[in-house]
Amino acid sequence: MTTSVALPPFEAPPRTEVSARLRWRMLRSAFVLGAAIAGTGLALLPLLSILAHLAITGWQAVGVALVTDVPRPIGVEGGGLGNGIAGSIVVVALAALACVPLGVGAGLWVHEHRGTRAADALTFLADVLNGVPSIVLGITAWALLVRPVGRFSALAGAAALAMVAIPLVLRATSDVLAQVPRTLWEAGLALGYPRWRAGLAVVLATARAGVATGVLVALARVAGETAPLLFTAFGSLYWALDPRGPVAALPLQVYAMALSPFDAWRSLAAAGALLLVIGVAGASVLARRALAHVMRGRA
Amino acid sequence: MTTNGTGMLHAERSTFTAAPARGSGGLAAEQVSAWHGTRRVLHDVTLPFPHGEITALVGPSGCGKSTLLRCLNRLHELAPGAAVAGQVRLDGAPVYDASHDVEALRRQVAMVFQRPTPFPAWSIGDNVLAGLPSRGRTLAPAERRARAQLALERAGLWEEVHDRLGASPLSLSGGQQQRLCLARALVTAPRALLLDEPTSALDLANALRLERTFDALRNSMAIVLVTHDLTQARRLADRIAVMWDGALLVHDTPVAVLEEHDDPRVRALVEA
Repeated sequence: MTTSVALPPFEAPPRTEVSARLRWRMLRSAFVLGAAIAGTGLALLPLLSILAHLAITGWQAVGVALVTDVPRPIGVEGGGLGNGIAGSIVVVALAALACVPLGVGAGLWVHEHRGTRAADALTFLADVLNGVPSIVLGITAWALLVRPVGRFSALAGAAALAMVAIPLVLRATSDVLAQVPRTLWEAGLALGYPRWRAGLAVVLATARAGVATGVLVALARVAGETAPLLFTAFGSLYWALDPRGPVAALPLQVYAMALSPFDAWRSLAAAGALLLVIGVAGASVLARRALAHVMRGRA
Repeated sequence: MTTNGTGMLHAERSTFTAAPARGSGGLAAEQVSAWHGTRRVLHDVTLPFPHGEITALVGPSGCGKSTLLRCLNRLHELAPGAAVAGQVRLDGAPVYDASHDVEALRRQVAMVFQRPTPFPAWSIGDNVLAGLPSRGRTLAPAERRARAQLALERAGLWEEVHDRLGASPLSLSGGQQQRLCLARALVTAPRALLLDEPTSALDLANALRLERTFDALRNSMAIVLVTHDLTQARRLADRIAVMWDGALLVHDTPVAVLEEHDDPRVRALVEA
């Protein structure tokens, strides 16, 4: 048996009033949306104009020789930035060897000891270092590693880049680890893990995608640094890849060639800068995609 | 004990079965006090947790139940500013002595937390074996699987996960994750099991299923259960300890505590 309940009659508000209010809200929404799109466009304008300038100026130099050849002497056609690309890879790889264990380790330590004076002090120091102009860190590396030895080197360049990257990695690591529930760490300890193992095997492993993203973004940023390398890696016109001696680096070549009065070199500089922008953007996109992939896998 | 894989498995099984008699051994808190900074949160609690029995710790929020639990496996001292006084004994051995191996203690006094804590980066199988040295990777594959199977069977999860031990633990439901954490706790053959409101985040069906598992484990270890659910305490516990404002109020059988005790605080708790 079914029973029916008598409902009070529904009284709709006057139709014209609703429509007018709705129109006004739609108008406001369209205005705000338009303003947001215009703001985004304005913010992207510098990036797009840089990319356009680099593409227009550097397209003549784009080719296989760009990554396989070394710069030719002034007046000789052709040439490339192969030695700079290889040198940058060497210097950034050496910097990664130092900044990944030190930065991630320090970030893990700060996370484990958060709330203590030592952890607060280290975080503050990292923030200060992040604000120090990179040329200052380059001069520091020169004073510590180049002057005493008496020669420029890729190792000194890597040390300078590591000084820039370590506080970035530290901050990224501690921020990502803060998202890991403390109960996971305690669960590791409750299984009999020592603190270091619970930190590494449980907390860091849980946040590994986020930490890897932070490391990649930091390395992408330092890969484009020029100032620290001016006093350390110094640069070279040849295929010099010995880490104990001066090496070419892409940002150094872009810097030197962009200042030159020769069209061929300026075109090479633009192509090199385009490579740097694409490399940095590509690393960031890859890192984000990898992170998204891992997070999807977990869900 | 033999060192080959099969021998270790048999040793594990024998640890589960050849245990001290009910009521003997187990854990015991002796005059345990605890602090968070300058705030004293436990006051001279003395309480036995005998082998083969489930002891339920009940009381209002903030009365010190979980703190006492964390003192039993020395997790409390890891909190910033935390301090502990008194002694805890595991089968008579003083665990707060400087010479006592804290990591070995935590393998012998396993713990399951309020919310499931599977390690997301590891597979289900690796989670189960997480308490073994090197996650059991030094063992032969068949031995690893046997150890995982044994623990998962005891936690009542084997049938549901036996064909996906390599999958992420996050693919499991909340109740399954909690049973996975129980299996992980059991793989080291602990002598005591600490349960910190293990069913409070689960639906009734999963909670009852987990309760049946605890009941089945009763005879093989000392079990300490922190719960706000007095009906759960009545169903499971051999003894109930009521905590109040950091102190032990009463410790007796469920009937004596929940039906016969006339302390107004206990009555208020029971009738709430």
